[in-house]
Amino acid sequence: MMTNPINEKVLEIIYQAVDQHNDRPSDDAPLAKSTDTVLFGEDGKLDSLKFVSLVIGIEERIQDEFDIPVVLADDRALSRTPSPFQSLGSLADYLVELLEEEAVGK
Amino acid sequence: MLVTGTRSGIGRFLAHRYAQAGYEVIGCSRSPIDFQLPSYRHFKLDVANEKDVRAMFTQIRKEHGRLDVLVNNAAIVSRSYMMMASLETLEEVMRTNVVGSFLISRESAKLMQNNSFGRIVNLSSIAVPLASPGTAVYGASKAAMEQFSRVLAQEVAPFGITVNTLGLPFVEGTGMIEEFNDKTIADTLDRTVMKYNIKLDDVANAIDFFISDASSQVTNQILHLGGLA
Repeated sequence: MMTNPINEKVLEIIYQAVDQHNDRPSDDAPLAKSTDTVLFGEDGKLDSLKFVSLVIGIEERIQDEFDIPVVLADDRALSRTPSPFQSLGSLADYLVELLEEEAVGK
Repeated sequence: MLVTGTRSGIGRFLAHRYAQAGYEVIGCSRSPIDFQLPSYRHFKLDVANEKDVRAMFTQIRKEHGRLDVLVNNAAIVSRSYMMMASLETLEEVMRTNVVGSFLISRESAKLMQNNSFGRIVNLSSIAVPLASPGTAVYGASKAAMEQFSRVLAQEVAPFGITVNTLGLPFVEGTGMIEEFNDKTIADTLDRTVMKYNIKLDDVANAIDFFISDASSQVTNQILHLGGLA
């Protein structure tokens, strides 16, 4: 994944949402704060509801930090190959892409 | 508690009632309101404007950190025979009644799931089951709301959020009755068990039941006040 100041900030935000996710009562193992953490698929760590919850937490934090209302799980993201939701790293890359598009749009 | 469409009618009544009952009430409407209440905050917006709706929810999250109750009340009533209904009317009604209630429900559920608790109550209409002449547009919009609510109820149940619907006949004191002719009202009442128009307190009583902490098992229900005959 790319590394630049925005990407680092986005990853920090994702990890904050992961912390919130891990703080919730659950029988599942905590989600590792790593760009390699797989979200979906065979080695995926989240069921669909926990995934929704994590995505909402990330959207809220992005909105608060950048004052930009991003929608992460829309048709564009869900139909993209490879999926932005493969890992925390790919999710961060996708978010940076959205934020940069928004910045250019402005 | 968030109540949409608080400028007049049922929404206005609910805003007053629940603010006086100790709730922190947030309301919204497209037009300005002519009242002020302690424990009441108003947003002037169109519920079908996604940007404004999201901005309102960001504000609610920052100020309150949570949302416990949503009453989806904002709606446009249309009474025209289908062969005479304009595309403009159809789009306007669908925009407020379907798109608006969808966006508000979606954003409410997102906020509610943070706290693993929520109560969503939709105000629908007896026009859906009765399918009376002149209600094609309005009834279709409410039927759409009922349908997505049935799905939403299942999607958000694991987060402790319930979704229920009130199917209302004519409600006194809302201006609703004055808009319809006597025959329409009589025909509608004849198809209810109780045979008389309901009162605002009847609506509030049913909402109280749905939003009670004790009603955690009450979800995906459509309650027709007055009873379908």
